[in-house]
Amino acid sequence: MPFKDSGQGLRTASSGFREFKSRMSNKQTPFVMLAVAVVVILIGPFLPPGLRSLVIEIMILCIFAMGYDILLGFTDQCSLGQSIFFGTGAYGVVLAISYLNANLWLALIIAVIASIVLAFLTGLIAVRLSEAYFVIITAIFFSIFYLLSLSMSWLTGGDDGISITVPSLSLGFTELSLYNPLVNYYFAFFFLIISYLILTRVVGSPLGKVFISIRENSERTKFLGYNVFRYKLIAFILAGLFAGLSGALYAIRLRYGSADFFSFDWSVLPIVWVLIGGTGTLIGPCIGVVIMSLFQYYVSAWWAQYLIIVGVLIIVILRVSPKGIVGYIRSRKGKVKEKG
Amino acid sequence: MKLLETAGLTKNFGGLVAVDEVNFAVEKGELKGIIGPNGAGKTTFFNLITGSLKPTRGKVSLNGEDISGLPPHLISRKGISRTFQITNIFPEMTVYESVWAGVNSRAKQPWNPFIHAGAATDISRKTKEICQMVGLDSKMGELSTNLSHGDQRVLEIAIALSTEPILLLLDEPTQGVSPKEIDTMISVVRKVSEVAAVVLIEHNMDIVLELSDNITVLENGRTVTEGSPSEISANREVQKIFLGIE
Amino acid sequence: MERNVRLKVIGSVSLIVVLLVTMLVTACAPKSAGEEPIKIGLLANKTGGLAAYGYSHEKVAIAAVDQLNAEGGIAGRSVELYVEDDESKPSVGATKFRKLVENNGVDFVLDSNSSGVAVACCPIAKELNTIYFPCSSATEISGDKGNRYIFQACTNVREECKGAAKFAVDNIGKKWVTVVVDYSWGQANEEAFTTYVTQNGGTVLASIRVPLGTSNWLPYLKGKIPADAEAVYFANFGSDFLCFLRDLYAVRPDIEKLGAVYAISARDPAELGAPAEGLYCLTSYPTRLAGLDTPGNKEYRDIIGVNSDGLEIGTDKYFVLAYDWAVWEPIFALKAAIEKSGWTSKADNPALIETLEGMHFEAGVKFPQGDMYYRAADHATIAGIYVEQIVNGELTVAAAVPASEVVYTSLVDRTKEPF
Repeated sequence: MPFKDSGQGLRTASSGFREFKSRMSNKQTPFVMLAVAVVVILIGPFLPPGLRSLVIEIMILCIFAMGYDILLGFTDQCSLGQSIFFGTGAYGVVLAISYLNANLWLALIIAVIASIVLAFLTGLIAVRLSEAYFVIITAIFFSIFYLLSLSMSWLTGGDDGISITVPSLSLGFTELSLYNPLVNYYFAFFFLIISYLILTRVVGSPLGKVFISIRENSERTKFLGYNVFRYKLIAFILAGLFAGLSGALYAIRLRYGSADFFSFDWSVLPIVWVLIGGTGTLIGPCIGVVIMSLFQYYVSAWWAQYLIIVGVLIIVILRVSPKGIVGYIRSRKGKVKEKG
Repeated sequence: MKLLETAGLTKNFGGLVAVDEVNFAVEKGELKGIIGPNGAGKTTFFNLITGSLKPTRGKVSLNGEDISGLPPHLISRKGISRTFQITNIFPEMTVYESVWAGVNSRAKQPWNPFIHAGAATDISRKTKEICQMVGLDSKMGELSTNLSHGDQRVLEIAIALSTEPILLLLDEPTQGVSPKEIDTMISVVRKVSEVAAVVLIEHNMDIVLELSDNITVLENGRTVTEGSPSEISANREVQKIFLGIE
Repeated sequence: MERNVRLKVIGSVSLIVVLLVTMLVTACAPKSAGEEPIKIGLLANKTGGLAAYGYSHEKVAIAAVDQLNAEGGIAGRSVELYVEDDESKPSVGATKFRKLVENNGVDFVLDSNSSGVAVACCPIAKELNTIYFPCSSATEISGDKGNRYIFQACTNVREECKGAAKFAVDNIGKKWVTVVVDYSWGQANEEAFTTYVTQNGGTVLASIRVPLGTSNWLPYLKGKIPADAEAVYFANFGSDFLCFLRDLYAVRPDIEKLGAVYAISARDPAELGAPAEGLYCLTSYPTRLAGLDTPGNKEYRDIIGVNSDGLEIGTDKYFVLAYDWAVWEPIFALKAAIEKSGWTSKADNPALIETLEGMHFEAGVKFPQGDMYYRAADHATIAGIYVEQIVNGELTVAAAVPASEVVYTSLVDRTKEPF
């Protein structure tokens, strides 16, 4: 946005504010997102079943990815323990349905609350620590949970896991079965939209701006009077919440929960998604999910070692644009604006 | 009652005494300078006041209240703000956003996740006012990393101002600033001293002598002497310290 | 520099676009009219912890399908094999199972050696009306975690321990200690072995559990094995097995050892040295031809390309023969059952399932492991097992346990389960 050099305080002040507002929420983004949402809603019934299953999986994992972006992309906290919350969310649902005969909504609520509580407790210990120690302690927590889940197979089913029959989804006026792929599709989409809206609002809110200033300079943020620990803890809990929601939806989709949901893969994948797509962008990690999932679904059939390609891709992307794909697109837009 | 008072403030690092029994006071509305050679303990002194470091001995009081050893964010809330010798800004945030962050910290709900950040008109207004006060209002949309060094040093002060402090600690604001931009800096410091008491660490003698009401000289962590600008510039001991004149 | 950067990005983006387009096209490819082949999916552990299994399972499955097609296919229709990688993870396995059915349109799915994958896929198999032959030994697959669409293709842990217990108590020792890795497979072995050893007049003095991936087993073994223990029953594999062997030998070099199925898979017994001398190990299929020298077995081994020592001809890699037969045999079982029941499409699955229930198969090239049948009540594979022993650095068969001794009372009755 070009600045008109005028001495009038009001004009320059408002252009600054406009710029501020546009940086707060890119005007184009809502339209693009709306278009994408409409497309996703409309093509649901027409997708071939294989692709539809894949899209459902992608949608569920995008929730996980966006939550992780709040942690890594917005407050610079590189947690290696998100699988704790993913697994907790999954088991919250599985155990609630198996032992409490809970209906779907109750199971989801239990799963999400369990994740929040766990995120709060682990965060109290972990968030206080500085960068490297934070990474280490989250990794330690992950190990504890994973080994416990393997060992306590009387509760968790261990790595064999527990299968569940998913109760029907009651919407008050009607009951829908999640065994109907279309219902599963829109169910996942509903939560994706809600998560996206919540997180976008958080990112554009004062809370989100404080997150960003913590990321940019957490020391200085302290000197501005912010209890940085509390804010980082909030970010940690948010990430845990969405990881748990994602895990719950994933368990519902698979009708299954196992110790594998606590495994290291689910701690590392979010990092990969965020790196590919771009930190601090919310949509970026979703692109990361899409790419990883497509690779796993299709490329794996051609070459089982597809992860090598992914690795090379990550290196290329990080060399070209450290802020991932979305970061690159945004910086190109900026350059075009400058020239034009 | 003094606005800020330190009594016997001391900081030991193992065997090294960085700040040695410093008694210091600032009145409301004063602009006090602190000068001293490198390693005199000036920045450590600031660190003790603002909570980066805990004093080994001694006390810091603000308006009579003991604030020794409080963490940085609480001291900021009490009304003390500081700038840093090495520019300590928010690289990928714009001028506006950087100042906004500080103003927001004093809002009733700085952690509000529900409203859109731009919707808080009070905060927007105050942010613009501060940017205007320091003369950065034409550059509000610029990314902090893209500013000239001089403008960054001004931004450094604007960020410190954003929390409406009653006491502002400026740590070598003209550090690395080009001669062209020094005048701007001087007028900024003057303007700022109209809204808050200021303690100014500076190496640039002319500026300190011109701006300060009162100057304290530190060497090896101890107060050597204190006085008005004219007294200090005439002081033989001070001349010895700085100019090596016998 | 700008141009280089732009080229790189264009290159990456183009690659992605090309991939996407190709995928969409192949996903929506119309089915060809006319005589359709029968499609079988193989959910192989090609990568991940069980990669060694996937390697040989894929080759064996391909050999079986080629053999089948050479003989005229099934009911005159050719057979196509689709292979997907479950990465040894249940979540990926479930996704690939769906892909095999929804994307590739397979009629039947075989394999994963990973219990987690198998358990995760069981409900999906029923949901997608696809008969599934998992190659994993979790007892619950023929129990409460399976369903009427599932036929457990290999012997399960309970059968194996039951079959082994009598031999163990009669020939190895009466006082036992179990040492297992602390996850489902290990825990199941501990429980089943304890039950059946006790039933046969032996005792288990101590049960030791060790976390997966432990390299130092001494803290778990030293001082934990009662002085009067005569033998150890262990369930671990891979590097865990090597560390266990080394450390047990340091603590009790004299003690007898009996390993669960899996334990010494794909390992050269000669390289294990003195600690492994005299070690017993369960298997559902003898590694060396000498252990089961029947014409059918020999022909099977020739077809899949392993020599008399169990190594792949040409590469000298160990095939996981202990489980490969459970990938080979279901393919021929399907042929027999399809031709007997008149199955033409998935709509005929109920009839096919009822035909398979209780169907007996005779030893031969198609069933090299020996006579076997699918028990109607729980769809378990009822077959004999073997106890191998390392003698002078070579694997020999110490005993063959007939199918009648592995049979246990079924935990479920699937014949009452609606389709």
